[in-house]
Order: sequence, then structure tokens, then C-alpha cells
Amino acid sequence: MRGIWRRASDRPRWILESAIGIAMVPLTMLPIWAYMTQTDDGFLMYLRGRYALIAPSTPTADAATIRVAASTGRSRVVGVPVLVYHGLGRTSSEDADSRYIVSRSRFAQQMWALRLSGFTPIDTTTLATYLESGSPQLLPRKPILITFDDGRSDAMIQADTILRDTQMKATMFVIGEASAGSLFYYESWKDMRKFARSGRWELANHTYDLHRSFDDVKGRPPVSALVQLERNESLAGYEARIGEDLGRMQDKLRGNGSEARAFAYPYGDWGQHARQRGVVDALQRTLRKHVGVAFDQDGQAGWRYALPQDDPMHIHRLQVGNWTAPELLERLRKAAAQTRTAYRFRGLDVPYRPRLLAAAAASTVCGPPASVPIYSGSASGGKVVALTFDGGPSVYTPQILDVLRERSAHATFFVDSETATAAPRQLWRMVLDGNEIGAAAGPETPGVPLAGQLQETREAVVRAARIRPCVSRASSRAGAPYHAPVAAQLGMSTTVWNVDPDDYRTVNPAAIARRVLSGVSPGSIVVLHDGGDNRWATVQALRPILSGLEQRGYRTVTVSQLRRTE
Amino acid sequence: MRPKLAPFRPLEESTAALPPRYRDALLVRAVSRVLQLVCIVYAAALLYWIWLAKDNGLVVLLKDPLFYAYSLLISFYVLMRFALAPFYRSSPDVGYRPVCSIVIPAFNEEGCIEATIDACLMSDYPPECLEVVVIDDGSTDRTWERMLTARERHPNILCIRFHQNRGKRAGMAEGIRRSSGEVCIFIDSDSVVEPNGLAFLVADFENPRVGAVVGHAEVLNKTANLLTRMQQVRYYVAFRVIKGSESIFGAVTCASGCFSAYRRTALLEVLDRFETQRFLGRPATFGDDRALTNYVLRTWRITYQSRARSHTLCPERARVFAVQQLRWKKSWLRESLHVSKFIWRKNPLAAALTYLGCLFPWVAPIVVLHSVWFRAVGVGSPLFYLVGAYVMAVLYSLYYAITRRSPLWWNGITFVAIYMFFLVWQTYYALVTIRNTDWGTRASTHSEETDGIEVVEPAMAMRTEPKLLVHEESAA
Repeated sequence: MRGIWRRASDRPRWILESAIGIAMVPLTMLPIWAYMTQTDDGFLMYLRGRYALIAPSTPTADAATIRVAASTGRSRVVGVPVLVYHGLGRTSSEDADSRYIVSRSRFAQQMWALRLSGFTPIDTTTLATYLESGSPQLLPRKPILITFDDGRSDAMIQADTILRDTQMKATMFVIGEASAGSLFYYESWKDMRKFARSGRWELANHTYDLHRSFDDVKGRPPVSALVQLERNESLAGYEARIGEDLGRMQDKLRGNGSEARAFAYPYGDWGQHARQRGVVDALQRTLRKHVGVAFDQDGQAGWRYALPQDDPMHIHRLQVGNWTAPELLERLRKAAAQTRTAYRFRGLDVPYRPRLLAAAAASTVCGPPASVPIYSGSASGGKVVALTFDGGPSVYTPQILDVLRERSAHATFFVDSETATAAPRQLWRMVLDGNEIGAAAGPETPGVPLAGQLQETREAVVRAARIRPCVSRASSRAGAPYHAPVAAQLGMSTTVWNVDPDDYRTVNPAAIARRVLSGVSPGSIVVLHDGGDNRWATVQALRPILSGLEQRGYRTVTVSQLRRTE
Repeated sequence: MRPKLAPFRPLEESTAALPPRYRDALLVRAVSRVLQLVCIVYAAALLYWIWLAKDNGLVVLLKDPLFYAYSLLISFYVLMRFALAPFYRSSPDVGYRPVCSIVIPAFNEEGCIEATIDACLMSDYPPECLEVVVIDDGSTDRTWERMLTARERHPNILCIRFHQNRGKRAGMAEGIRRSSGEVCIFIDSDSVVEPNGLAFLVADFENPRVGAVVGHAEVLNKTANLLTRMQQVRYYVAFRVIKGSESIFGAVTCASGCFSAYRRTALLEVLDRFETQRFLGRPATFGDDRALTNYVLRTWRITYQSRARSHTLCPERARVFAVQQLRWKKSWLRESLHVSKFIWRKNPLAAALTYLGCLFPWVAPIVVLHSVWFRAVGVGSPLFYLVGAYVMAVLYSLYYAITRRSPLWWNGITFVAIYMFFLVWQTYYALVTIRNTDWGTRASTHSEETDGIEVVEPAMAMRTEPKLLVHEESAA
């Protein structure tokens, strides 16, 4: 008994006891700290707690961000870049999810970089209107659409203060059911409304309850519930079911004060790997009933800004990684260059001048159609040469048109129904620059007679450029005699060529130019290609060809002009 | 040569590491205050964590109503207990000194019995108002000799020896019958009381509605090992929080045997029933303190007196500890049935908390199983449950750190862990083995034979007759 008491009052023992007791204060915090930093649930709890008390201040733009942002151009960009984020926060996690996560500080730098380089945030409604009308006046000088998928709490809580401080805005694609279930990981509708009311957030549709994927068939990629038929379900049933889900989500969004008619495919899956036939078309039909614009996530390597004439149901988004601000701006810069190419390919830079087009159409008088193929103009017609281009229009056509305009030369472009429809404005430009448009009978579709193909092309050209083609081209020299009578029936002559530099298979511009220049004689018809493959060599050869022809005293004319000189 | 007898002075844990002359230094007090403040902030942060976890719990409500209802109720229970505890105030000693009879039943306690007797008789209590009865319940060791040794120092104690072991209840009853004080104080033979303990313990009896008072118990051998340290924290919280909050309503459901006092009037009403209590057809042996409390609680108020402190020996070995806990669990099973019959007539809040307290040990094992094994990953995962339990355990321990400023505080975490992983399962085991009334560490102590009593009367009669002999009045 006394022994016990002596032991209990032993001072050295109590010194150790006190040291342990004090050390235990921080030590007992360790498991909680580990939970907060090492697990997703814990991290979310930390975020909620932290932001409910005092939100951390947004990091200021660092020197590199400011420098890079200052060096970007202020000029108007073409198209609208659309970025997509998922989560913000713990980038250290090693799981597959981590590529969808950007650290908070990187996100802040990215937002500063966008802000400081002059980007102005827009919403999906503005984008949809722009895509439909093609009118850049609707947009700020440098528009950008920042989107988030899934309605994740970590993203919304952390991004909100950063968006506030960098004066940016974002669109959140919300999964209706997940937010209604307040599954901790997802922000609840109540909080979502609060965020939306700040004006910084637009809420949009990420399906009500179809954000699931099926990975049940071995050896096949997983498939989103959105593009998966249920057992024994008919396509009509599928359409009704998807329509109901989309409609329900749109109602829910309206109920929460959002008028957005925008959709993002869960997992970016619009049916790439759909297991049943007809699902993609059915989905597209249903989607168009409910939303004006839909975003996917694929094609990251070829990503560019959204342009008018893009399929509004497949607007590509850049999946932003945990990049530094310079990396993001570099990616945007590269995409901007790609966008400009596409922009010019589509002729979106060509102003629509209906009066000039009408005048050109009125002045086009086709001579009587020849029922035999024309291989060349007559040598007596003077030193004229007709350059013809097949296979376009493509992204190279604007460059060819640029060179032609620069040298005041004219050429004839043979287009088919498909390419004419894809880039109608290129056709305007051809006409406005004084070039001629001819009809080609491609692409060869088995079962469709030649007359039908030509007819289709002619209609496509009329639709696009309000002009009726006077000439057409056979798909081969050998086929020309059979082609000519059919074309004549449609009021078109058939041209072939007598100079073929074989640019289709040549990558050396000098060789192409040499062959053309050595082959031409007065009245020659030269065949070149402005589409179908990489036409860099042709574009490069064009200047030497034109210079050489000029030196030799040739004029370049269109095929119709060539015929008229006979 | 025996060491000189000195009154028992407890140690202040917060400054025990310092030489005595620095213990009251300003700097020491300041540092200890700062550490206390740190712990308060820490506790506040943990409470905030629980507040945040509520969102998480809300998710579980949809998926798992049982789990959620349990979390909600247990949060209500724990928070209510801790919220009520600060409202408890111990009564001051205003000089009320009734005649007290201290009853010390002992069985094989040769190591401690002398110290127990010494501590009682060296209390700051008028000796003429003190009567001590020690009962040796047929010990097989040298307990009786030790009693007689103590009697040489304190000739006024009454020593009784049963030749056969009859059980603690018989010893207590014998002690009650052979004493006459207005207040009967029970002290376990392995406990020592602080010198002012008796005076504080009887203070509440000034209120005529109070039938019993329980004192505070500390662990005497608290620095022996992790097990006893852990029990020190557990005792402190059990007494200060649970008994403290029950005391506000005068409805303490367990006046621990180690140091409690009963009004003789109240005792005599129930003595026979207490002595002959049977459960499931067998005589009830252990759980004497709880049983007696419940008999008295029906008609009287029972309070807790935090300043009346005793120090008791606790099991130092896991096996003994487990057996003791099983014994307590069995008596808890029996007595929770008993208390449920009448507690609703007391304060509704006290009743609600008591009923919840009776419910949890039944559900807890199911919930632990459910959480740890039957749950997928993610929200509400075993990890979340474990972290939640850990936070509660730290909070539990911080209560000790904050109120006691003691370096032993963290041992509460060990207790909660052991409770969660081992002790909760005892509920079912206790239910299965409830008819086994062995004490656990020795054979069944109950014997019906009543012959063979040896009595050594006090050397002299009490100097003054008690002013009020309640048992005579009630007998009249």
C-alpha cells in the first residue's frame, strides 16, 4: 500500500509522464491530419470546414504568369476556346482519377493567366448563339468558356473564390441525382443555387441520373449508361427514356434559376463505343430536342477553338491538366493557330457579300455544253493556260487562293457535293476572287448513277455560292468520253487535262513546278490538287509555277475563259 | 518500526513533476494555463469536425437509417451528458456533522485494509461522531490479523469476523445492523479516503430528501501501468460527467461501493430486500452498490459529491480487469431492468438519458460490426467510422486534460479503443453467462450459513450518545 503510494508520487516518473502528456497533444492530431490530407472524404471535410470559417486567399499571379500573359497578343481571336476541369485539389493521389485533378494553386495561376492575357469568360448560351449565327460581334475580343464536369464539391468550393478574385466565370455541368442525394462528394442543390446566385456560375446538364458506366463486357471499352440500351429495350423506348432524363434535368435546372441549354456527355462518351446500332443517331435526335449545344472531351490532340459550322452537338473541350500558366497559354496558342487554319478553310473570314455574289452569278454565262471531253484549249487562242484544282476545298485551298489573288491569276476549282457543303464560304471566296467553280463527280458512291452525283454536286454549288457550274470533270481521263454526254445533259461541258505534274504523289515542290512549266503549251489545261491529302508541296509549287508562266508570257485563266478564247 | 502515520494527501498531477517549492510558481501556473488553453482550442476544433461530419452522417441517413439513428442518438446522449456536466456544483461543507457509521467489508485484503482503516480514522471529522465497523468476510489470508493490528492503533473500531465467507452483502448488512449512526458510509477495503472526504460526503444530507450520496473515486495505483492510467481517466469522466449530470436531477443510478453514504432511514427500508435479492432464480451476489442505489433511488434523491474523494486500487492485470468489467456488466444488465421500472417518474431528461444509456450497449456491437465489416468504401466507410470514433476518444480524453491539466490525459484514447474493440462485446457475453454468479476471481461467495461470528467490541463506548438514533424512531 505504502509502496504503491511511493511509486505514485515518484518525481522522475512524473517528469517522463508530463513530457509524454505534452507531446501527446500534437501526436494525437496526427491521425486526424492524415485523414484530412490523405483521403478524399477527409480532404472534402477539410475544405468545407476551412471555407465555412475563413476561405484561404487566392494566390496572386506569379512572375512567370504575368510575363507570359503580357506577351500574348491582344488581337481578336477566332472561335471560342472551351476548357474542361473536373476536380481541384489533391493532385498527389496516384489513382486513375488524378489526371482529372488540378491543384488549387495551378488553377489560380491558370485563371490569372487567362485574365491577364485578356480572355473574357462567356456562357454556353452566348456560345450557342455564336455557333448558330457565326457572328463574331456577339463575342468579346478574346472569349473563353470555362466548364467543370460533375458538380464536384472540391471544385466548386475552391474554384469559387478564385473565380471571384480573378473575375472569371464558369459553367458547371451537374448530375441531378448526385446533387439531390447530397453524396458529400457532390455539391448539393442548395449550395449550388447559392453559387449560381453569385453570377459566377452557370449550371448546366450532365444528365439527371445517367452518369454511370458499364464495364461488363470483357475486352471492350466501358460504355456510358447514356448510350446503352437496357435489356430488351427498343430504340424508341431508349429515346423516350433518355428524353425523360434530359427533360427532367432541364426542368430541375430551370427550377434552380438556370436557363442554360447545354449538355456535356458523361465521360465524354457520345457513343464512340456504343454496342447497339442506331443509338448514336437516336441520342442525337433526343439531345437536339432538349439542348442547343453539347460538349465532348475527346480529340485532345486535335483540339481547337469552337467555330461556327462546328456540329453544336460535338463541341470539343480542352481537358486541362495540372499545367502551369505558361503551359496552358502555349496550348491555347497552338490551338489558336489550328483554329485559324480551320477558320480559313471554312472561309469564315470571307465576308458574305450577297450583291457581289449575285453579280458574279448573273455574269456567268455558260456556253453550249460540249458533248465530248475538252482536253485542252486551242493553240490559236494565244498564250493562255488554265490551272485546275481537284479534290478541294481543303485547309490548303485558302493558301492557294491567297497566292492566286496575290498574282492576279485565276483558276478553276472542281468541287464535289461533300466538300462544297463542308466549306460553302470557300466557294464564295473563289467566286468573289474571279475563279471558276466546276463540278466533280465524287465521291464515288456505288449504286448512285453518275448523273445523280453530278446533279447533287451542281445543287450543292448553287446552294453554297448561288452560281451554276459550267464545267465538270471526269474522275479519270479514260472515263471522260462516258462522262461528257451525261454532263452535257445537265448543261455542263467536261474538261480533262493535258498537263499532269503528278502533284498527287510528289512531295517536291520544285519537281511539280518543273513538270508544269516544261509541259505547258498555249491552251494547256493543267491539273493540280488542293485536297485529298497533304497539299503542302502543291501550295509551295504554285508561286514558281505562276512566276514561270509569267516569264514565258502566259496568262492563267479559267476553263470557261480558255474556251471563250478559242 | 512502522512509519509515522500521516493523513493521506493526494498528489496534484499537473505539477507532480516539479520540486514542491516550484509547484505554485507563477510561471508554472501560467504555462499550465496556456497548455489548458491549447487543449480547449483543440477540443473546439474537434467539435467543429463533428459538426462537419454531420453532413456525412446525413448521407448515411438515406442509405442506412439504423446507423444514422444510432449516430444521432449517441451524439445526443454524449453531448447532453457533457453539456449538463458543467452545471453540476458540489455542495460546500457548511459544518454539518451527523453521526457516521463507516462500514468496511473486507475479503482477503491484507495488503490494504490497514491503510483504509487508518485513512478513515485520521479524517478531519469529530471522532465522537464517528463509528467504524470492519467486517472480515471469512478471509483466508491475514486480513483479520491486520484488522486487529489496526485496532491496536485505533481501539474504538468494531471488528467482526465471519468464520465462513457469506458475501459482501451479508457483511454490509451486518455492519449496518451493528452500527447506529444517522449516516452509513461504505468504504471498500481497497480504498483510502482523503482527510476532508467524510465532511464533504455528508454535506448533502442536510437536505432531508437526499437518501444517499456518492463520493468521487480516483485510481490509487494510476501510475502502475497503461491499464490503470486508462482507468484513472475513465473513472474521472464516469464520475464527473455521468454521475455529475445525474446528480443535477438527484438521480445517480450507481453509488459506487468504494465510497458512498446512505441515510440510515433509507437503508432500513430496503435492507431486507437488498440482502435477499434474487435474480433469475439465484441469489444476486455482485452489483451490491448498484442494487442498493436503485432500491433507495425509488423514493429518495441520490447525489454525487465531487469534493469527497477516495482513492481506490484498480486491477493492474488485463485478466482481472476483464473479469471485473464482466461482473459490472452483469450487474448493469440486472439493474438496468430494475431502474427502467421507475426512473420515468423522476426528471424526464434524466429518464431519457438513462433509457438511452440502457439501450446503447445493446446496439453498439451491432453497429461496430456493421460499420467495420458490412460497409463498402467511401462515405460512411469503416475508415470514416474509425476516425469518428477516434475524434470522440480524443475529445473524451481532452475533457480530462482540460479539467485536470494532467499529463495522463491521453490514456482516455486507450480506454475508448479497448471499450470499442473488447468491452462492447461483453454485453452479449454477460447476457449468456448471467446465471453464473461467480465473482470471477474466486469461487461464489455466497453462503447461507450464518453461524460462526467473532466480534471484537470497541475498547470504549462512544463518548456521547448520538443525538438522533433514526433506526429506533423508525422501529417505533
